Amino acid sequence: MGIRVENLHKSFGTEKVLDGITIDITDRSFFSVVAPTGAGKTTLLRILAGIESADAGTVYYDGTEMSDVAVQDRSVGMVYQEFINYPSLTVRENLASPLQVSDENYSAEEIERRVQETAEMLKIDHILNNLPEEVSGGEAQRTAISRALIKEPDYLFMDEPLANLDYKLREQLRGDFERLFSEQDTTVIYATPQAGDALAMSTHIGFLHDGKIIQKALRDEIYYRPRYLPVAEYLGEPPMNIVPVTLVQESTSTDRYFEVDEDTRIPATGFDSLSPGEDYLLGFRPQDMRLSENGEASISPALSFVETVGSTSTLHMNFQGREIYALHPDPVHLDTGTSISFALDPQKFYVYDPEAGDLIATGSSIPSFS
Amino acid sequence: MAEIEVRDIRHVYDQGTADETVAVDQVNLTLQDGTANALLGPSGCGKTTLLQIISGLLQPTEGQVLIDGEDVTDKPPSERDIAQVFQFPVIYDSMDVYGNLAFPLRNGGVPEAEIEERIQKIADLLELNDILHSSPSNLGPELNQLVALGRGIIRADTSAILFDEPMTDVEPARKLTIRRRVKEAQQEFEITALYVTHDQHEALTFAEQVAIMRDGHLVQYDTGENLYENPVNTFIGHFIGSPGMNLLDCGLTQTNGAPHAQIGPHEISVSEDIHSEIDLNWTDCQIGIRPSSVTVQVADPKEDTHYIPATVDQVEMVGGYQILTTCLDDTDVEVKARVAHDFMIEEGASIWLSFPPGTIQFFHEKQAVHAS
Repeated sequence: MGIRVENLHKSFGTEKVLDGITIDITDRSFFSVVAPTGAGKTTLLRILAGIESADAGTVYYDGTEMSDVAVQDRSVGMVYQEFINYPSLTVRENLASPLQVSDENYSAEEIERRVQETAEMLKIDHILNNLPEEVSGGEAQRTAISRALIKEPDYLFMDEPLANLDYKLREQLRGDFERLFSEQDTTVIYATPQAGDALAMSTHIGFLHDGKIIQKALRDEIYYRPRYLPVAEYLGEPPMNIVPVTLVQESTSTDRYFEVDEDTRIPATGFDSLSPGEDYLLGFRPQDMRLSENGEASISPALSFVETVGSTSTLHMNFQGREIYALHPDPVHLDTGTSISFALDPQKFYVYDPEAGDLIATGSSIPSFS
Repeated sequence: MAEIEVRDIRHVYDQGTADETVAVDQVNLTLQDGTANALLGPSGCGKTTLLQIISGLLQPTEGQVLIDGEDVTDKPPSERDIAQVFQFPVIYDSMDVYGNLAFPLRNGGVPEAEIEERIQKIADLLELNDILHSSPSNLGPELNQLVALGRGIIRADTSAILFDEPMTDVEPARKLTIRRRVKEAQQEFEITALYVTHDQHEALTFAEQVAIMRDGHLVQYDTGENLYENPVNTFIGHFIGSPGMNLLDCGLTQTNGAPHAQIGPHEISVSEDIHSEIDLNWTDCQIGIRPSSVTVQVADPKEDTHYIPATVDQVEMVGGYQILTTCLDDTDVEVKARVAHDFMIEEGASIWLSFPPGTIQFFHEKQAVHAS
């Protein structure tokens, strides 16, 4: 029951939005399309659902070509950023409406059973008799999702459904979604610019860049092994730090270093496949930076300021003219301008090609996926 | 810059009608001169109403607004010298960025030489130098929001600046940079600032003190550290933190002469300094512990009775860490625990948790119990 997309193209006027999308969406997976606003996520979702047509390319549902199948004849549900419910109908009537207008002649008992079941699943059974305006934003969005789910569609398309919700509600719904859809037969296709939402909920993630899905993989795989620089720089909270370096090895020694400048050398232990004298982009995650004591420094960036939220501090720093970040699992109290150093662990490094931007080596403790 | 005080503010919409709603009730709050503050709360808590009362867009039903001790409750917004940055940047497309920044000063008859000097300072601070002569319509919403901020703070006589969800239109990936520049501008100019948001991350990163509202009431006005470490009630405990504090219903037992929290078959020690405050006959008790304070162990700790066995139900990647949702064995009590982003664990795994006594809060009837 998965979806296959082959070589999809779409332009609006002279603007190429989708430029050859080919992906397989696994049956029953929770697949997130991640990209900044304006990258074409919504267009891709609309084409997959059959609401919009592509200029070229083919969409298959469970192996069947879908070009000539109208959206109303497909087993799909849609949820949008603006939660759309009928304002004059109660939540119960909103949920029942897709079944009542369906050609399939659901019996009153069947409708009641499905409304009850879906409402319980989405935890809105206590507001079934309320009007949409009488319920909270989170409940209104859960009502919209229930409506999309009530026909038990094979495919559910969600376009930034959490964007208009309060932070706390989003946090709760993220957990609810992950749990709900891991138990459902529905295949979910979810578009979001929020790396955090995708990382929290998805089984699979695809990153849309310049009209192409440049990487699509299991959630853990794309997080631990972002194959291209734009993926690495987007999928993280905060993003992966990237620093231009040159690999150096003195003729008198076997030790290798990533040289940032004359004064800054970072051990390159274990990166035997790289060539001395070559330029690389070195990546390391903010979580993997440790404030160093007793002079074991690798790098000494300038501290711009510290943000502490609860038990976590984010250090904003400037290093070689770039903004970099470190995440510290305990609150740190440091003033702007304090001189600080970090020990970096080569086992957690990522090395990217500066021209092509692809991942060419990783440290030994980065998990690999076959 | 100035001190802003709201005193006994109450605001009722549609008073005397069937739709009568109390939006703000008995709110007292003083924003010290030059400090960064945030007003945080869920939708409908009254924060936007309070903001409009401070800016003068709304007359409160009861209470006063004071700027540096002077009652301005009856004054229109134009006489309060309060700058505002809204959700969506309000700037003039017909002028370039320089013209937008100069606008409030030219209106006030400031000499051009001084205007140029002030614009230069603002542009340096907000990193707008490269776009001073660009048209706003060619810039993204992030840069336009910075221009709106610059225009808000450029006048020397601005008494305060109010931000109303200013990051709404900012790309997630750009938020870190924009936040830094806004914060640096506030610190450099020592502006009294109030930042309204539903996003705790924005509130806690911007403000020295955060006022949290719920149902029209001010619940706690405190530093981020205190809101996190010492929430006054379970609402704050849950609301602050991502995810919020674990709040575990518990009974009370006496073991070795000391009160313990009882959850199913598990006994948990509570901090010694509140032993004398606890009445063993209490009901409606909860212990609170932050997910980051829960200690997780994957190997059976055997003899160490501080550890409680649990099962991992869910693993989520949140804010650069993994959050484990676990269920304590032989109970239906859910506990969230934070572990490193590269901590390898599968859903369904057995683990052991411990709750270090110094990190546990105790709540009775939803209110925090403190040492007297």
